[in-house]
This record gives sequence, C-alpha cells and structure tokens, in this order.
Amino acid sequence: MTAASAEDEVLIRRFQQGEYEAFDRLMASHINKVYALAWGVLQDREEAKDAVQEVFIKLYKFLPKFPPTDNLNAWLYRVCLNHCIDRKRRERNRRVELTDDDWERLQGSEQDDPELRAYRTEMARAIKRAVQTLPERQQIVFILRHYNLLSINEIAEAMNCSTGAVKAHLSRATANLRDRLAGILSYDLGDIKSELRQKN
Amino acid sequence: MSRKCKQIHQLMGAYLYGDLTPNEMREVRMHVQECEACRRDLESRRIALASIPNKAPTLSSDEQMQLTWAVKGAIRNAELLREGSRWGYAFAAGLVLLTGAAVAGIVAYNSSRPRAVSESGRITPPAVVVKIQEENGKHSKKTSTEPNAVTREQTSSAPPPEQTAASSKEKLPELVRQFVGNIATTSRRSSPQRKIAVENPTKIVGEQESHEPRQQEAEPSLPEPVAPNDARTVTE
Repeated sequence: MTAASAEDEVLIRRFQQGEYEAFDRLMASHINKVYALAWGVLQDREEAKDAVQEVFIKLYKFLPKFPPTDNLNAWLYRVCLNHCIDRKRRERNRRVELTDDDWERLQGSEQDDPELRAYRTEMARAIKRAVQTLPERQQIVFILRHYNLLSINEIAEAMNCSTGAVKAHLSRATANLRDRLAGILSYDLGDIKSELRQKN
Repeated sequence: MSRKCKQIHQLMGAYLYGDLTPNEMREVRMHVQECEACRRDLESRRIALASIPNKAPTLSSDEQMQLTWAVKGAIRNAELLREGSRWGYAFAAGLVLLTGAAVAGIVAYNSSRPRAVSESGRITPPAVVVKIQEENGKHSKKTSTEPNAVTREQTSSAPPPEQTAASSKEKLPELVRQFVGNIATTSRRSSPQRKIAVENPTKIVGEQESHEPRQQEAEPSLPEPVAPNDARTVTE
C-alpha cells in the first residue's frame, strides 16, 4: 500500500485521539473523488450519492483502527468500488442510463450553435452506449483511468489485480471503444474541427 | 500480426494515458514509427478517447453539505441504536436479578417454615398437619407422639396456629387456602367420590406449595377423623 498523504495522516491521528471534527475535514477532502468514482461505475447521480454515504459511514466505523500511515485514498476507492460493483451486479437487469444532461454537462460549456449542440447530443448518446456496453472490468478500468480518478497502480490495488492486468483491460477497452465509435468519429471529427476553426 | 505487434497492442491503452514506464513508452513509440498498421491503430484509439469527455462530475457545495449531514445522521442513529440496545441489555439483566431475588426470597420463606417429618423421613406439609390438628384436636397429640415427627406445636419458638394466622407470614397461605377452598368445594360437588391423596408432596418446593392448599380445602368435608399414622392420606 502506498504512503498516505501527510494531511490525511494528521487528520486520522487527530480523529483517533478523540477530535471527531477531523472526520469532517477528511470527508470534505475526499468526497468528490469518491463520488466521481461511484458515478463512473453506477452512472447514476442519486445512486452515486447513496454509495458515497455508505463509504463514509464505513470509514467512520473503521477509522479508530485505521493505520494512519496507510493510504486512505486507496482504501476509500477499494471500498467504494466493491460497494458499487456489488450494487451493479444486484441490479444487472435494471440498466441505469445516464441522463443526457449528465453527458452534455461533461461535454463542456454549452454551445450557442443549435446544429453543433444537436451533434454533441448525438455524439454523447453514441459514447454513452459505447461505454455502457463494455465488459464490466474493462468499463471500470476505463472509467477510473479516463476520468483521472486513479493511477494504474491504484486501480490495481483497488481491483485487487496486477498492474499488467489493468493495462490489458485498458488496452482492450480503448480498442472496443474505437471500434464502436469508428462509424461516426472519422468523418464527424473533421467536420467539428473545421466548424470550431470557423468560429474562432 | 507479429508477436511484437501483439505486445505493443497490449500496452496501447496505458500508453495513451501516459501510464507506462519510460522504457515501455519508448518501445511503443519506436514500434509505431516502423509499423504502419500499429500507427493507424494507435491514432484511431487516440481519436476515440479524445471524443469521450473526461471531466468527472463533482458535487455542488449544497450537495456536499447534504451528504455530510446524511452521513453524520446515519452515524448518530447507529450510535443511538447501539446505546439503546446497551440499555436494553442492562434492563434485562436487572429483571433477571430481580426475579432471582424474588425466587430466592420465596424459597427462603418456605424453608423457614417448620415441616412435619414422618417415620420414613418424608416431610409432611405443615399446613396439613396444623389443619388436621385444628379440626381434630385429639389427633394432634397422637401425631406428636410419633417418635420422629416434629409438629408446629412441639417447636418452642414457633407461635401457636391461632397466632400464626394473624401474623403476616401466615396471611398468604390463609388467603390461598380460602381461594383454593372455593375451587375444591366446587369441584367436589361435581365429583363427590373423588379421593384426594397427599403423597410425598415436598420433593420440590413449588410442588409442595401447589399441593398444600388443596389438602386444606378437602378438610371440612372429612366425615371421619384421620388416624394418626395416616396423617398424610385424606379420603373423602
């Protein structure tokens, strides 16, 4: 396990000495990353919030005996990942889809050009389908890495596998995405680039 | 596809995210310069990944605050629940102790009362003996003449039956006797030929208590005085 950040270590020690406000600061500094990870796996905002809640409740219970020198980030991601994967498997039949708002928000700022917006919406749907239809482990590795949530080593630690396996999953995920998006990307990307050039 | 190409394909995903070691990065870079197919493959993957947004969603400050309070609330509830169950255990333990003390008190009370001991060493319930003695005064003396028998009258410290009825210790058996007497009278009416036998009633304290009043209530209907040596059997 990699070393903890100095701030986390101090906060964990304070909590263990009875200063319970330290938990609030730990939560504030990690909540967004845990939420992003949960959202990435579950692809639903409300379910991701529930997962965040569960993870931090577990952290509160475990914190009194948490070794301060251990990596809290890795622990949080592992717990969150396990929780989300369990949940996802339980609800495999109920396919949760991202709302278009989620994807549009992720595409960046809204464009004034209606055609460009329509194109982006269509692209967003195609990407959503492509990501959602990836095999489970490829999807998780891709999300964790693509959204810059974890490094390869951290993903390996969180998923309890080797870094070589993570690299292989990532490679297969990128190949699959390339294949699924090939029909729309090769032509439209050039189009959108020229449009953006004209705007600028 | 050559073995080298397959090996490079395995690293392409991590290469695009810059997650390889410097040596591996160089290896991939050099291979794609030489291999046209791998170069096209890598470029198409790059375009595909570039089209996928990579901004992770974040929580607004309001959402963060709501989640923080939700977590704290859940923790507080869990703590309260644990505290509540702790009090529940304490209450149950107290209840068990109280019950134990009550049982011990009853046992002590019963054991402090005198018992008539027959020849065979069996203990006759005192109430039976006393009642029989009250009803049939002459027999009481005969009972007391039994070599191994000990009656209430013989114990110097014990008060006479008239006084004991007034004492607080005797109040309870008296009430029970009256209550069970009513039941016995009712049941006797329905079965006048019933025979009430008192046999070794003191093996268990509880059993002794349960047998005692019934024998007393059978007494008023006794047509014949009970023989001294047959003090333990009452027939109707």
